[in-house]
Amino acid sequence: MTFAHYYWLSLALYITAGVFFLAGLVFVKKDAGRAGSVLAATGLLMHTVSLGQRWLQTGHGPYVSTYEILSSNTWIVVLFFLLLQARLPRLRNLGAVVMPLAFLMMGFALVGSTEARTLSPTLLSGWLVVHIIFAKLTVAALIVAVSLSVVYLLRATGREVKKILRYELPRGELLLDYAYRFVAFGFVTMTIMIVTGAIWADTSWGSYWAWRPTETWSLGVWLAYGVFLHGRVTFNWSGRVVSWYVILAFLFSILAFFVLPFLVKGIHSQYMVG
Amino acid sequence: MKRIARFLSSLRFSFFLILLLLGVIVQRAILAQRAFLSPDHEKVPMLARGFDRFGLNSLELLNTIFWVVLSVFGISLFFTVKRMIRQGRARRAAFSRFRDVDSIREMRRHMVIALPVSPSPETIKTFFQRRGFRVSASDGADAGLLLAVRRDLGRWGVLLFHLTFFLFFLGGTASFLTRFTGYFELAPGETFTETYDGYIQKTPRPVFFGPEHVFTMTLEEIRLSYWKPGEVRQRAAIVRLTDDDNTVLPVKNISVNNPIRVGDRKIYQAGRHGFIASITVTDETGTRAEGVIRFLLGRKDAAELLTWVRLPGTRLDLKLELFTDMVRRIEGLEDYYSSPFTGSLIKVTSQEAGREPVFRGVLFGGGDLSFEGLTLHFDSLKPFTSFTVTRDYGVVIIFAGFVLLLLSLCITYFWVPERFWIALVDDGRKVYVGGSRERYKESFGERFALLADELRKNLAS
Repeated sequence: MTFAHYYWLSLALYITAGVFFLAGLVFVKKDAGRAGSVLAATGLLMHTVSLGQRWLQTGHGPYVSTYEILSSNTWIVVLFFLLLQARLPRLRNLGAVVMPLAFLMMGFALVGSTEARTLSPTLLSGWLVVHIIFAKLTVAALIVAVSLSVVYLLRATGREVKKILRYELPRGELLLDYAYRFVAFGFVTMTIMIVTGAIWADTSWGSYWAWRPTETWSLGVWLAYGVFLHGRVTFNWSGRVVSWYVILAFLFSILAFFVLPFLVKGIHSQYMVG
Repeated sequence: MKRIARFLSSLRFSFFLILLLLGVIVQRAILAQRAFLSPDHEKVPMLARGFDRFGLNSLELLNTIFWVVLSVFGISLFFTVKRMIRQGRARRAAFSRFRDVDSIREMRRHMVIALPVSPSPETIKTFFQRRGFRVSASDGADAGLLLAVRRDLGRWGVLLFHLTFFLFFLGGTASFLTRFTGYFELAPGETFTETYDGYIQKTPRPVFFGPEHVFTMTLEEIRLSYWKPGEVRQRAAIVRLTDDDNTVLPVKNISVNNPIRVGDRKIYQAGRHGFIASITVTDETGTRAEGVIRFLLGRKDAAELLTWVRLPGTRLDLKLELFTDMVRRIEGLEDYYSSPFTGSLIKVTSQEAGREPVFRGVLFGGGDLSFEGLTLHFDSLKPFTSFTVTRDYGVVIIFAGFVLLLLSLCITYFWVPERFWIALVDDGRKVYVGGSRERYKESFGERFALLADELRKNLAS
C-alpha cells in the first residue's frame, strides 16, 4: 500500500470517528464516544504510516506543499485532541466538532498537488523544524479553542439545541475557560513560531524583520489574539463575545497563513504553492 | 498629571492602542502584499482596492500613523510598568496576609470541613507542601491560620512581558542607527576589499557606520548544486578572508543558513549566481565601449540563460541567450547539455520598439558579430556568485528581547500563582479552606473542589 492508500484509510476512519462522537453527543451514549476515540486513534495510526511513507519517499518532512502541510496539520490536531480527551474525558465528545474540521483539512489537502517537491537551500535549516513544530502546535491549540467555542455557541443558542446536545459536556463558562487556556497556549506557541522565524530569517538573509507580507500578517494575527487576551482581562469578556472572537480570529489566521500565500509570492508561498 | 498618568496606564487605553496597532499592521500587510501584485490598479483584489478609497494606500501616511501609535504605545508602556511595580508590591502585601474565617467565607471558592477529631496544623501543612505549596502559619485571634502559596513568582510574568517591549524599542533604535546591508559579486580568484562605495548595491549609510575596510575576501571556489534544472539544492562558496588587522583567517565555507562573521560584519551567501560575459561594442566611427552582461542561473527554467540589454546610445534592445559547457561543471546539471558542444556562445536577437524581433547571428567566445554598423566582440566568460554583508548592533538586543518575551509569556500563562487560606476553629474541628488562582478561574473551581476533597479525606483518615 502507498502513502495515498493509508491517507484515504485514515480519512475514512476520521469521518467514522466524527459520526460516533456526534452520536455520543446526541444520543448520550458513552460507548459511542469511546468508540469514536478508538476509531480516531486507529485513523491517526494509519495517518502516521502515510506521513512516514511520504517522508521516506520525499526525503524531507511533511511541510513543502499544501498537501503535506494540511495533512500534517490534521495529524497534529487529531493527536492533540486525543491527548486532551485522555486527560479530560469529559471533553471526549468535542470530537463531534474537531473531527469534521480535521477531515475538512484533509479534503483541502487533496486539492493541492501530491507531487513530491525538493527543498530550497533556505529550508535546509534546523530552525525550520522548530518553526514548523510550533506552527503546527498553534493550529492544533486554536482548532481545539474554536471547537470549544462552537459547542458553547450551540449550547447557548436555545433550548432546542440543548435538547439535542444532551451529553454532559462541561458547563458553558468552563468551556470558555478551556477555550481561553487553549488560546493562551496557542498564543505562546505562535510567539515561538514568529520568533524562530525571525531568527531563521536573520541566519538566512541577515534581516530578522523586513515587513514582508507573511511576517506582517503573522504579526497581525499575533496582535489579534493579543487583543483577545487583553480584552478578557480588561473587560472580563465572557459568553458569546469570547466564542465569536475565537472563531473570527481563527478565520483571520486562516486567511493570513493559508489563503494569502496563494495570492502573494514569498517564502511561504514558495513552499506552500510552489 | 496623576490623572494623565492614570489614563495612560489604564487597561482600557492600552487595549485601544493594541486595537489601533492591529489596524495599522493589517493595513501595512495589505500594502506589503500589494507591492507583490500587479501595478495595474484594476488587477489588485477588491479587498485591497477598498482600502485605497480611504487614502490608506500611502506608505508615507501609514508610516506616520504607525510611528505615532508606536510612540504613544511606548509612553503608555512606561506608565503601565510604573503602575504595575507599585501594584505588585501592594498585591504581594495583600496576598501574603493571612485571612480569618469571615474573610475566607467571603471568597468565591471556599468550603468548610467538619471533623470529629481536631487535626494538627502540621498535617495540613504537610498536605500542601507535598503538592508543591510553600506554607506559612500564624495564630489568629480565635483560630490557627495557614497560607499555602504555589508558583508565586508567576505574578511577575505580566510585568516582565511589558518590559520586553522596552528591549524591542531599544533594539529597534540600535538597528536604525547602525544597520546597513551591502551586496557584491565575485568570480573565482577575485577579491573584494570592503568599502562602503565598493558595494554594488547598499542601503543608505547609517548614522553610526564605523570604520571601513573591515575585511578582504577572495573567492576560491563556487559550490553550487541543483536538485534538477531550475531547483537549487545549495548555494555555497569557499572563501579566504583577511580581517581589519590584516590577519589571514582560515579558509571558510559559506552557504545559505551558514554566514561568516568577521568583526562586526556578517557575510551571507546571496541568491544571485550565473555567468558574467565581457563584451566590447565598436561602432562605425571606431568608438569602443566595454561592458559586462550577467546571465542568471536558478530561475524558473535553468535551461534559459537569457538576458535583455539595451546598447548605449541606441534604441536597440538585444535578447542574448548564452550556451556554455561551464553549466556541465555544476553539480546536478552535468547531464543537462547532452550535446558534445564545448566552449561558449551567445545567440543574439535584436528588437526595436514596435517591430518584429530579428535574429542577428551567433557570437562565439573570442569572436565577433556585426550588424547595423555595430561590432560585438565576446571577450570572456566567467562564473560568478553573490554575497550580502550586514552590520546591525540591534540584533543582539532584539534576540534578548525574544528570550524575555518567551520567558514572560510562559510565566504568565503556564506558571499561574495559586493560594489557599486555611483557618482552624473550634480547636481545629472545623477547617475553613478558601482558594484563588490568578488566571483560568473557572477551571480552578474544579481543581479547588478536588483538592479540598482530598484534604477532607486526608484529615478524616
